[in-house]
Amino acid sequence: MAPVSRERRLWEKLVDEIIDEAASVSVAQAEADLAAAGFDVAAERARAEAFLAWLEGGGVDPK
Amino acid sequence: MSAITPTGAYVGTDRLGRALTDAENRQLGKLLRDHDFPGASLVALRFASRLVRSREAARDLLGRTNLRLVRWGWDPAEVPLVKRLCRLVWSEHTHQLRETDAAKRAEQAFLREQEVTEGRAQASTPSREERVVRLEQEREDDARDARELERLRGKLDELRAHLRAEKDEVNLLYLDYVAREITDPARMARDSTRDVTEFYAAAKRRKRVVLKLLAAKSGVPENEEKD
Repeated sequence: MAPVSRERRLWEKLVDEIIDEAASVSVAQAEADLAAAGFDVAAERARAEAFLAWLEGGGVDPK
Repeated sequence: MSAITPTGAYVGTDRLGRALTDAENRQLGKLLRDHDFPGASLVALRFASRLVRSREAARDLLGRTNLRLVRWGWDPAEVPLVKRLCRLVWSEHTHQLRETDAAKRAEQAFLREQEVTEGRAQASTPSREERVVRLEQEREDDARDARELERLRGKLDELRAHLRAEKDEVNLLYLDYVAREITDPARMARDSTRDVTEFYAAAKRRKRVVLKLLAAKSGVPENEEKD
């Protein structure tokens, strides 16, 4: 295997671990961590709801 | 082609080659709502906030992630929504870093070209310098793989240096094993005559260090109030 492929594979495995761990956090934990980091959790939830509303309202082409 | 397949996967506008119809937008909205999109978004935002330097940058990253989701699609049978969003956060983040890097290289190339053009205008010299610039660009293209290798080795060297400083021998062993395509912790434990639980315990430390290094690359100061 070429060195670049070997190094890439190793790095990607490490990154995959980070993504898996990030995705395994509960919503409650995420809310607590976001609040601790200074986010207004209710406002962030409202943003997500607004995105859904944008879709449900017909949306526009994101391209 | 319909945006939502009979098995419930969302195809994405890139593959569709067109914008969603109003009905498809509503279908996608329902699909995302059924999978707790707001909750998954908060988890993805938490991840984004660990990769970038400010709350605003994290929100921006998540916004681009949502658009990427609409463009690239998602199959609920293949991966949970929260994991799809976290992977797209990562994808968007690295895309942004690469764009910044490419913009810097383009700027340098532009400045080189400008120097040549201005030099020629002043001295009415022939296009020898232009040929040099072209050759430089060709060399740069040829060296792309070498740069990629250098970049990855740099990251891994940094990680190893950190682990050595922490005297984290188990994770140093782990990296060596994975580089040799040995990924089974039981095999690692057997070969190194260590207890397998040491390798499981090492995973948590490793993830923390890798995330710290990734955040440092984006300029996120450690233990510092963001924004």
